[in-house]
Amino acid sequence: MSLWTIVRKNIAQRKLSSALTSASVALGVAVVVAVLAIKEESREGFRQGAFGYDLVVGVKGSPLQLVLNTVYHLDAPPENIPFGIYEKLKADRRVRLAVPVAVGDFFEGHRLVGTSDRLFRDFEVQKGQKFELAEGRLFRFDEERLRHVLTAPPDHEHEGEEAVFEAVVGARVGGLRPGSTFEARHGGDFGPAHEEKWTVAGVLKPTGTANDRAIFINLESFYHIKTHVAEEVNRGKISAVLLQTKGAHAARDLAWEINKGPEAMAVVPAEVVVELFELIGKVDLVLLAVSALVILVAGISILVSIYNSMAERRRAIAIMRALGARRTTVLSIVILEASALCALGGFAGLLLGHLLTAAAARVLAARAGVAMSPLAFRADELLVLGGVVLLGALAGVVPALRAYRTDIADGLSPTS
Amino acid sequence: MEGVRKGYNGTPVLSIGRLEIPKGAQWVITGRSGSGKTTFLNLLAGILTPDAGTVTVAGTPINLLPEARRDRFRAEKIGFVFQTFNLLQGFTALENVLLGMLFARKTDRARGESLLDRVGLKDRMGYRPSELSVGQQQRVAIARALANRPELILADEPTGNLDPKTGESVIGLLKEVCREGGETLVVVTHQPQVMQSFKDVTDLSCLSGR
Repeated sequence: MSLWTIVRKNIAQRKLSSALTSASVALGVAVVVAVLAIKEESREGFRQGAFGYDLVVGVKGSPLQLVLNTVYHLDAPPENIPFGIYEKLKADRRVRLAVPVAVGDFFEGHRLVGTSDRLFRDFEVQKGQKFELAEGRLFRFDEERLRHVLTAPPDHEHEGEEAVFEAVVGARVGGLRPGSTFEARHGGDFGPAHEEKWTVAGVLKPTGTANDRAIFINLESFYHIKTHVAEEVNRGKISAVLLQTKGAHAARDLAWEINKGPEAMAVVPAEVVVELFELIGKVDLVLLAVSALVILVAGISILVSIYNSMAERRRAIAIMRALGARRTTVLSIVILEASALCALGGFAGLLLGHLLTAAAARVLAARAGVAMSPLAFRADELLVLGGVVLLGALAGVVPALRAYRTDIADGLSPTS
Repeated sequence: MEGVRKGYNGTPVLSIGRLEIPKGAQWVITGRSGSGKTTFLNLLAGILTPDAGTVTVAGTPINLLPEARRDRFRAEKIGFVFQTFNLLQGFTALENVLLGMLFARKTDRARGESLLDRVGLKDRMGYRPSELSVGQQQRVAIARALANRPELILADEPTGNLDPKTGESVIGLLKEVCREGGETLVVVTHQPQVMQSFKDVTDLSCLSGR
């Protein structure tokens, strides 16, 4: 028998009221936990995706659109840049590795990324981590043939030049195995279908990045798509170039030089992601403020609920006082009760918050290829829990003072 | 009690020149309605403090103690039996007894069980008050009052809510357990059959001249 026994009994005696007040705390905590977790986890996830690239070079315009397109395989495809820029960058002494990419087609929500096999052989998808095949092989790729296709005169007929329509698919592209074939649509899932069929050559191991839901095709095949051949806009052009430079100084130097020119811009993906999250941070703040308000209202409802119960508990308090309980003891019991209700709600909220995060993680993984760990416990959740328990204690102070002032003789009198 | 006076809102309720109840005595306090019987018990328990005079229990002038020490003294030295039993409803019989020990900071489950056994409720320890008869509830209250081995047991109309037969049995038990433990027993009652079973009866109306 301890004070906790009394607290537990008091809570159990008012089951419905206790459950409702705890549930309102749980709701607030769940939203706070989910917002904090999704914010941090997705930020981490987006950063991870950007680690493997120093620079992304694309058409002048929105750096965010360029990064979302090339690194995260999101957003509408940007305009193109001349293939010559890629060739120039590839030859630049400051560049360790350059990989061209061309986008614009989709298969069941997955973006087709036309690229070279060097993306898999030499690029690091994240720092220290290269792409690995789970099964099959890489698509066949011949840079010379690509060069020929991209630099041929507009009226050049490619008949007789057999294109390789092969693909390597990310780990989260469901339903495609080596040997599977698929057709793509132009501009999105509701765009016109291309006639060509690609054969899956290999499936990549999961990387925990947006690449897991992308379909990589031989860049040459991109330019053999009949509708692309017909479109003047694609001729001799690519969407972007992914660059790995020979150091931070080289990256800065190169970016400055490219951005000074009229044809393209170079962006540092990690910097763009920071800007993106500054924007998202404002939305997070609003969400956090709303959920803090929910918790505050829950705290007030605990105060009201316990305060209203004090009239019916006056006799019980007087009995405890008659048995020798000090005023501070009954004060502690009420404050502990309010804190316990908040703690219960807080723990339930943590659980619910992680479930919400898990649901959000599935959506983020499916839509953005961002891997999250929804069950990972974060240090700031302890702060939230501590804050909620403190709020409960504060909410308990007013009814506790009423308990503190209970007069034993009055409380025990038959009329009370 | 020495020179004790107590009143409410300027109206005197109790005035006692000197009253000494010997250690181990079994004493009945009676008096007509409004004679201050409950006030008398509350003064003895340290629940109320007199406007003047001294209340000494087991050698300690309790009205001179600071409130927190008076609470502790009450928990350790005084047991209470009420007319309406005053058991906590959400607690079992045993928990109600242990609650009496909690505030004296000496919770002893085995003693709680043995006390309930002593008052004939061995097989009702896990029952809540609502599951017990009124006689059984008063027995739990007696066990609770004895929990901390007090020096003084105060009983305020302990048979007021019981039928005569049950009342007789409860008074008999109360006297018996106090005799066994050597506790001083002070019973406030206006029931003649209760008074008849005690040797020492003090009429508060006569004592305070009201």
